[in-house]
Amino acid sequence: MLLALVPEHGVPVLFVATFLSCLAVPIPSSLLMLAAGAFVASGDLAALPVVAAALGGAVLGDQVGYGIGHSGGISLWTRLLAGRKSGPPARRAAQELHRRAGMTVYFSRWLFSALGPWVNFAAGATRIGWRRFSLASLLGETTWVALYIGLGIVFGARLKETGATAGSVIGALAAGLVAVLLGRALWQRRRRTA
Amino acid sequence: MTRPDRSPRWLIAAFGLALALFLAFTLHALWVVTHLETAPGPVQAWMTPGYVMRTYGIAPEVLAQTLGLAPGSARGKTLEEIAATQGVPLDALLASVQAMVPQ
Repeated sequence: MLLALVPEHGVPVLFVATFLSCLAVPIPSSLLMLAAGAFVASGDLAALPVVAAALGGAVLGDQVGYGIGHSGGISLWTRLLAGRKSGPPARRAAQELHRRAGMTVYFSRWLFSALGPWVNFAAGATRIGWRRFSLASLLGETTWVALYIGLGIVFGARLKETGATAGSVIGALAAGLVAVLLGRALWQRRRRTA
Repeated sequence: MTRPDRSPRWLIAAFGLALALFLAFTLHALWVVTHLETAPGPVQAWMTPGYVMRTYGIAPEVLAQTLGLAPGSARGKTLEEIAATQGVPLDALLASVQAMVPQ
């Protein structure tokens, strides 16, 4: 069981887990961070190395994802842009991503975390500035790590329940934000046609 | 003939789906929180003595005596590792810790 590795090998386990999560490998990093927080509170792990490992792995994973998109994705992206059918939507998608790059990268670290790795690849492939990407990645990963390790420290005595609640609260926040954005789009259409 | 200015169906459907998911997640979170009063589940192999003390409210000295250890000497060790080190069957060790849990 993965949880049993956390008390003794928490630091390397967290580093590898968050690193691989940022490259689309399905690992329950959020649960592992909750567990690590709980073991910090119970005196089994030290807080600083745990936070540093989780944050370091995540930020490094983002950089590798960006690098893969930058080097490998660019030829695919150029081909998509040149395509007669794929060109216009690809250009529009790139424009949107560039316009809201900071927000997209930030929120895809923790609120829409399933999108995170794909945003990394797309950011590299569409040549979003490295500094802009890195700053948003650092802020977003810090939010992710602080949120889950913090929850683990405070509520970790009930690890299973905290995991279920945190997952649902994040899900509710994400779905609520999407509902607000779609509702705004619907409202604007109605107003335009009224 | 369809009206070109009408909101597309996919947009309405996506909005409805997002709202439904928002409600479902919120209700689930509320359900879990309102059921926190129930006792925590059984003691498990991945737990450490520190985690057991915090979760089940067992005094350090009592747990240390049950495990045959000095208080704080098994930092970072799971109950499974402690059982293996002591050559005790894991189930027996878990049962003795479980017996310490205040009812």
